[in-house]
Amino acid sequence: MGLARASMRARVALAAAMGGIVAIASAFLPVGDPDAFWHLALGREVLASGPPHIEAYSWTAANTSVQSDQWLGQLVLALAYESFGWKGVAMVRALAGGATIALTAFVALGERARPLVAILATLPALLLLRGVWTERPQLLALVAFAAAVVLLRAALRGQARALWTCVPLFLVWANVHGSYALGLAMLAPVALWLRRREALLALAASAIATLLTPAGPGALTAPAGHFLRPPRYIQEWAVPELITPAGLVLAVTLAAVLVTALHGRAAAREALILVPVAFVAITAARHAAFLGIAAAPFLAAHGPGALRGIAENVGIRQLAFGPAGTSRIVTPVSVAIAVLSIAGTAIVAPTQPDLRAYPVAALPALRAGPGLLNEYDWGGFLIWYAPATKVFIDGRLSPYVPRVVDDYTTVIEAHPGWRETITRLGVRQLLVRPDRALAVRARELGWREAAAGPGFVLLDVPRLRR
Amino acid sequence: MRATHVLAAVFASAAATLAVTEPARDPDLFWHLATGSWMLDHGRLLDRDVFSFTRVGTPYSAGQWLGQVALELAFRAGGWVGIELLRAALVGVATLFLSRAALRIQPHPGWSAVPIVGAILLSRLAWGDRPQLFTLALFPVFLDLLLRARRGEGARPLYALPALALLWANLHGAYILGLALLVVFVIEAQLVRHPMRRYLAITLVASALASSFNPSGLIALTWARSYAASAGQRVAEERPTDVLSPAGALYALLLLVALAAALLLGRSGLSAKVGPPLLWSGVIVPFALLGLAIQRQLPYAGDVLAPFVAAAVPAALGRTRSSSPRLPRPLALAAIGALAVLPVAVGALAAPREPDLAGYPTGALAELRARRGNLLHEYDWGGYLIRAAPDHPTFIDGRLFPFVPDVLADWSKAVAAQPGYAEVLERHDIHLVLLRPQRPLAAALGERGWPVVAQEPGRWVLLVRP
Repeated sequence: MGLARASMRARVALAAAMGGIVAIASAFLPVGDPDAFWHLALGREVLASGPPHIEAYSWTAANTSVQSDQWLGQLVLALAYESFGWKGVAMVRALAGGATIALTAFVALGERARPLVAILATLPALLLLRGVWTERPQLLALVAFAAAVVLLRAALRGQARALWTCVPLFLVWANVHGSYALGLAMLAPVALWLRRREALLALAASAIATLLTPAGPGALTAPAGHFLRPPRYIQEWAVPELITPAGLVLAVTLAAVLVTALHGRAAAREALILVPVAFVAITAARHAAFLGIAAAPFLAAHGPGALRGIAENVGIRQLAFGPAGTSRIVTPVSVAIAVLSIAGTAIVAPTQPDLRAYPVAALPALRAGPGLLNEYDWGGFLIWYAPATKVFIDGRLSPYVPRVVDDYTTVIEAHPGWRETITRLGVRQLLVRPDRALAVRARELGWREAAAGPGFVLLDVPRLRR
Repeated sequence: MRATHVLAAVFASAAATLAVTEPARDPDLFWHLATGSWMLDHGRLLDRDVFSFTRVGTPYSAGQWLGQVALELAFRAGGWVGIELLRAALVGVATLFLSRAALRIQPHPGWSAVPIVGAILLSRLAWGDRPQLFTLALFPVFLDLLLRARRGEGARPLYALPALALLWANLHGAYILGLALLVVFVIEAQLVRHPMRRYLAITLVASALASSFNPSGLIALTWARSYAASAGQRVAEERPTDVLSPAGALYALLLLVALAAALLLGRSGLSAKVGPPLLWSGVIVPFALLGLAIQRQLPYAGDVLAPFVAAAVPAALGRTRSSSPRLPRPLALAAIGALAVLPVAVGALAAPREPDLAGYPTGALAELRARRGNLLHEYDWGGYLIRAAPDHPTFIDGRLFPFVPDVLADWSKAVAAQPGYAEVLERHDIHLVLLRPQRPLAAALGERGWPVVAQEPGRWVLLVRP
């Protein structure tokens, strides 16, 4: 028991140290994700009057009903902002990223792997997480995903209580972000594999818990729609490109999983988690991090054995990886690193967002009320910084598909009929990038430039005859 | 004769019969035919551009010359039916050798049929009438012959490979895939000190030398790098695979079933029941990832996954391996003969006599013949216009590489009506524009007073400079 407790202490300390390092690295990054602004606006509304049900920020989807499927994550962000400003938002991002890596490292270390092996196995998760290191509930959901991996692996090792712990986890997760559906897709095969009554009851209870959201069963429709018909024109929803740095990490991770599966010992239980996660990971760039997290304990547990298998195949008889234990100094050093790193996030986290990508200089010239047509990824910024001006479209997307998105595309790309669409909708101002076909055409037609700056132009639409 | 030979012929005949009934429609077919025709008429290789006005006289690669000549000879011999019969023959060869490879490892038709059919369906992505059909046929030939040699049938299967490599290198640039496959087998055989390792190494050297006898020599090997780095940014079929598309989902199914089977079996199970894990990991990992990275390469991922899945799945489920029953030789030969004749007979009776030109601006040809001046048109109509409107050299077409980066950049800027588009039209002295009507340039020119002289609503519009 003493040895087990020391080993557990070392695991926790090492995992916390890794998480701490990730947290402080994240804290150095600027804040200003295009979607962070509307998440904060909605979070502020949740604080004031509960999850909203009616659209109030756009004029194209005004008064339509909206889903509040991420209200809890938005509330956390808003509370952080109300307490500490943008520094608080940055710290939430840092601590969420750190917690995700800490949990991933913890479960990898628990596979009786050498610490170095476990750390190497966690690297893909760390690198893939970089692509989703944003100030959104999505990052909080990754913490839940990593926790689910910990619990499901514990359940497969015979710890029945772990499955019941999934119930409150899924209750929280379903109110933070729609990715809880992937958690259910992992939980179901595990519960069916265990074939025990309590496992199946825990599955049922977790599924019921996910219905306890403001949207009820409808909470699944937006994420399901995004998953099955992803908006590929949005970069993070695009197909993973394996020649990009993030895509290369995904490819290497997938290759490592395949090679380990082919050369390691039989591991049927690993398929229950890895196969659904691998599929989801290759559907869109933003899902790649899931594979890094789920693969870490598998690679830690089976990677050394796979390498030994390859070595035996090529005639290298003895391939050793050194002792499994950790030195006594590791725990206190790791604890110190973790504490200093987490404390350090409060010091280094930015106090202001990076607004260089946004049309800040256009704000004074914007007209209040409806009538603005804005770039898609400026919508959140405008919701936060120009609340009197209703937006045409923003990163929430679901209130706008398909009708508003079609109109937006027609106008911003100056397709035939773009002027008629402007007239029909009653657009009064255009806030777009200067290289847009719309901007080029509007300037050619002599429309008045109300403001211009690096990366944007604000044009007034003349009265057009219907 | 083994019944698996007849079964392979059944699959090949079915695929070839399906292939012969589809009309020719590939956008690149037309410029391949024009190139083959030019070479036959002039008696020399075409190594300079003669079809465009933006790159006329520029040297470019004649790497696919033999494939283009073969296509043109098929057309001269039998018209469009000749093209369809050539396609059917190559699809039949591809399916025959894919099936032989799968049935060699898994003789039971019940377990082989599904992965083989899956790979055939994936191969349809490469059924376009272009020299790539030769790669579609030759890759599984290489795979089957290498598997035969590796599984103990001696060196005889390898004798044909250098000659095939020589042919392949002049038929289509993707002969590098065959060399890469050879490299995998050579490395694996060397590492495990397989008795065939010397023969494989000699075959690799001979094949590499033979393949250097092409118009570009060894420089052709460097194209793979530039192709991988740049093609995906420009051409849809070179983009990463979307696993939510029908073909992508089929690929994902094969890949994930392979992963699950590997996890269930482990190294020892794979060694005993499927084959050497080192060889399979060397074959599956690179080609599966290539298929994920570039959707056009999916057929080759299917070729390597199908035999593995056919063998690994029943082994993972605990089924014993069956052997192929034998059939009387005359009966088997008669069956194979009948199966070989079937697609030819179907082709003679039912193959389309004309290509499918629904996607092309056929109605604009009359107007184009009556007018002079430089023409700007859709990228994927370039090949068709080379053949159908030879009096109007193209702005750009599917040959792509002569036009990157400058001409492609100009074309992209112009059709999207981005800043500077008018200057592009002036610089290239464009007098005629033939585009899809939803293009921003079509709308912009219409508003600037360019008259529409012909159109097919929703499909194309032809504008002339006023």
